[in-house]
Amino acid sequence: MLWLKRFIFVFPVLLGLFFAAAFTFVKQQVAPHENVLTMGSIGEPENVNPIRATTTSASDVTNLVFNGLIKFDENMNMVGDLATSWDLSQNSRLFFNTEDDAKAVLAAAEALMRGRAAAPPTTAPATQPARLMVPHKASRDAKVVTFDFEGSAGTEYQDALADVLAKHPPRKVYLLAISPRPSAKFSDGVELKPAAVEERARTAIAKADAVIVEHYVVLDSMVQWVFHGERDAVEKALTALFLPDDPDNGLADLSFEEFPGQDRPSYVFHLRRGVMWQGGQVGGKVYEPKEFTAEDVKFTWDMLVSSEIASPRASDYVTVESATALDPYAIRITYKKPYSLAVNSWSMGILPRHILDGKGPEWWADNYDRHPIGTGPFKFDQWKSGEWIRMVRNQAYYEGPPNLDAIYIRYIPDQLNIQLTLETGGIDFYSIEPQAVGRAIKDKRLDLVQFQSRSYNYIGWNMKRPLFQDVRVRRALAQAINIDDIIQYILYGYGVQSTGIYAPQFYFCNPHMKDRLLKYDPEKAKALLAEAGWKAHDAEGYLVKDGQRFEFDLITNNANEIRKDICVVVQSDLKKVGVKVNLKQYEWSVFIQRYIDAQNFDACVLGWQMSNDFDMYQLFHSSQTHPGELNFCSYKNKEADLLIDRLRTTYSEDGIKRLAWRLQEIVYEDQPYVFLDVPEATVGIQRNTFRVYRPHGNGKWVDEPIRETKAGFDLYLPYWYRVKYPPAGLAEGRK
Amino acid sequence: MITYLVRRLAISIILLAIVSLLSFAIIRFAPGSKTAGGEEMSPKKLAAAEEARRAKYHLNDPWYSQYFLVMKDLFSNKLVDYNDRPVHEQIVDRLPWTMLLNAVSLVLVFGMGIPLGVAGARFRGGWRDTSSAVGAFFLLSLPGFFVSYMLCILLVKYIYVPILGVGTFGMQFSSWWQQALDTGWHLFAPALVLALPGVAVQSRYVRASLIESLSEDYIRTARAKGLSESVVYYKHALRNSLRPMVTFFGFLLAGMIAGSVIVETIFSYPGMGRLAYEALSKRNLPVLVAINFYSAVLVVMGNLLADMLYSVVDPRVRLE
Repeated sequence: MLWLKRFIFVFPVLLGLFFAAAFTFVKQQVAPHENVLTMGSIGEPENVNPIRATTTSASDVTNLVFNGLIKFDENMNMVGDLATSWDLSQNSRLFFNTEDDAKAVLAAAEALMRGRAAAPPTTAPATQPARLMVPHKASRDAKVVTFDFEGSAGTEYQDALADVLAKHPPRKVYLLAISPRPSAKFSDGVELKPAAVEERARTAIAKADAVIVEHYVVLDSMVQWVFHGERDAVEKALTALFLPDDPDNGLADLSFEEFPGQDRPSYVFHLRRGVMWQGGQVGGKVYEPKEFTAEDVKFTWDMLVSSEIASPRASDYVTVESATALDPYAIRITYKKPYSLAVNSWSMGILPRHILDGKGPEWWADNYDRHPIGTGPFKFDQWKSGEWIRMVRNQAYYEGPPNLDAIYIRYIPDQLNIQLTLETGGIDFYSIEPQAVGRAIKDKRLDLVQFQSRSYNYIGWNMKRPLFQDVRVRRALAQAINIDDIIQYILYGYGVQSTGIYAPQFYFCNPHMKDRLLKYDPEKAKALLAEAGWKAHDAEGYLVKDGQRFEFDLITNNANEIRKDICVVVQSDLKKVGVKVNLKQYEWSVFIQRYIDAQNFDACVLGWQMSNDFDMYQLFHSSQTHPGELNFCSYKNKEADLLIDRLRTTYSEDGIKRLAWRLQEIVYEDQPYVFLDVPEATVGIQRNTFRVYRPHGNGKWVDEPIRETKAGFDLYLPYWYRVKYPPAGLAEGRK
Repeated sequence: MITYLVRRLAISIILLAIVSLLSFAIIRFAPGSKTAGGEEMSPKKLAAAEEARRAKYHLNDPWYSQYFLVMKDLFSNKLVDYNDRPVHEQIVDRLPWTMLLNAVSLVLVFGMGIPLGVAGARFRGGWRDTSSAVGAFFLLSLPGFFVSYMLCILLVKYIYVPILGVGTFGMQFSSWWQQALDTGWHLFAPALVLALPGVAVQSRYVRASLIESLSEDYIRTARAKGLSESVVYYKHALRNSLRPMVTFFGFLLAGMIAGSVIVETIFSYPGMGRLAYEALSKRNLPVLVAINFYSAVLVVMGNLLADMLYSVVDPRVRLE
């Protein structure tokens, strides 16, 4: 047993020797920075397929490997990517009770279009004349008028026809959607498969004397009809068939929506020629580079709405009625109804048909989802699970080859560790938390880029609770909260007061909101509360009305330190005006499922990320107030509803501005939320290490420092270069 | 011996069935959507798509048939997670790293715990004993994540010890022995944090049982024979004190597998614990059920091994 003694003494010595060796050895072996960029990420994506992933960690990769049909430039204007240009046109069908009505409207439309054709070419001329169609065979007494409008869409043309349409009103058209619960059965034991639903619903609709105009199956689990007739009668007939209101026997969800007309906008995208798919090996097979065509776009749409792939991105694409390749370099995408934001969704990465066609979701998951092949500036190279992903330069990229040899993304799941890695040079840039910015400013190793983030924090009032139904009370509470304090003490000064529902980077954000902000004014708050009946105080100094104390629970999720701190400030500010706030925190999924989705809360602190769309349908439309929907504060305002609906069918920038600016004002006036702060983001980049050398149109290239643009500081990431490795083109230019 | 093994195996199988059922039930009945994939609060969420995903992964079935399906897929090597990725492939990717980390930690626990315990017993009441006792209780009362963070800052700021991953970044093109040395170097910090509570407990165990042995008659005999103190301690006393350490091995294994979830996440170590942590935050049930199952298998096997070692260390014990 004396070996044990020897071991006991030898072991620490051996260990010490090993570490001493490694210490000297590793220090010498730290690789010199080659011409690569190393990014860091807290989260690691499960897959990097653009249509199957939604996380930002996945888009870090897909943005470099894929291209969409369109993209956004540094001013957030839409520009072509794989498409060079696109045309918008609209096919509209209106249904009338008599042929006279139809003829009158048609004549007015023809006159309008003749006027447009004669007008100067600032507005695109109508290339196809309007024509009267033979009444629809199934439509009995209804008369149908069809228009084809080029260069315009949405309700704008209907505005032009408003007078004549008022005199000859078209019949109302409804969109009906039925989504059967999986594995539910009819009372006679037949399963609710789409085919069975379709057959029975068709009979029921016919019994109610309604006429079906269009019919779609979405994702194999939702069936949609467009019909005209008596809505109530159809609903009654279907309710009898599906029992939607009975929670135990509820077999299907029914929803009705009024159509603004049978308007079908369609886009024709003209595709860039000569764009090549990257070559590469996936699933044990080598794929040679191949030209990108319209078939790939059609295939991508097919996959987005396929129930087998079950894309989490499907919602933007189920409104597409059809995608048709006109020739290899043009594709027509027709929508079921006007939706002016639809074109934004074509920034989605396009998938290669020649690789993926005929492969099932398991093949995708095993192969392509973890080793994608796209058309982008970088080629996916290697993924070391739990460590890093490497992408290498695509020499054949259509805009010109990038400057860096490779880009790495390292996965570091811990906040402290990732900050330390940035400081020691293990990653090249990363965002810095507000409390660490002061230290980072002094750090000589880092350059900082600061910009306003596209997000805001808010307090949402549950307006189903009587306490918050009075707008005076909501405005009073907003003025009782010191937002400047929140910015100064919680965000360390890195933030500004929010101006409402839109991010100031976008044209549809109202620039006059700055003058209308509610400022901290506890006296005014008290006066407003008194006006609303909250005058008396109880023994503890809290406001009382009808024997009820002004007291509520403020909830948030427990992993977010900033939100928790906001709660504390709000609690103390509101105490000063006599309102008692109880704070509660929950784990995220419990918070969402039990409280937010169930609308089982008084008030909550949350934040929204603002995307580049002006659609506020899910967040503020009064139809979106059911459990599980995102208007969980139950905000209802008729004018706001109208504006939101009109925005979805408005295509011109001026029209969008007019409606969106007004919407922002109304929502701010009503204060369903207290719009708190817009945080300022800080990104630390290794000092004097990177610049941008990028194509600048017409074969010209421009050399510039890294700077913040409306589309973010990393818009030109594919064209960053290390100052130590100046690109060849730049060196020639300087000679 | 054979009958003992057969009986132990039978008990293990029942135990594993109960563990798998429990771990499935805890995850299955935890609140939160299993298929929203972080999309709970996205305006782009589509009820029909989520419903399709729920149907695809049988989440609308009763819990017992879900359990049966998951276990069937697990044993037929067909289990896929909510991204359609085979679960076994993910675990096979990560398991070797976790085993390596735990092995290095075990060496550290025994290599540091035994000498500390012996020193404590030999210099009972002296400064060496007191300081190791204080040190042990100090380490035991500190939470692992706190020790990890302090160690991270200390190591990065003052000594160059890597705290990230399993290899120096940019070294993947070096020769195998360079990479091996590099990886060993990277194991230091996480293995140390994982080992510390074990070292603390181990040293107390060894000390207590050594003191007990030292009062035995045969020690007096050994001393009377004129043997040196080293021989008395290491050859006579320590051998009899090894028994509790073997039992301790079983506990240690379970503790380290649990501890590796936090340690691997903090040190960005590509092991199974981190996989579990990530799957947990995404409610990825198949991955969690599989990891829990295999961890339980490891612990059950470790305990079996410990019991068998017991009979080797102490010949008086027979496994019947």
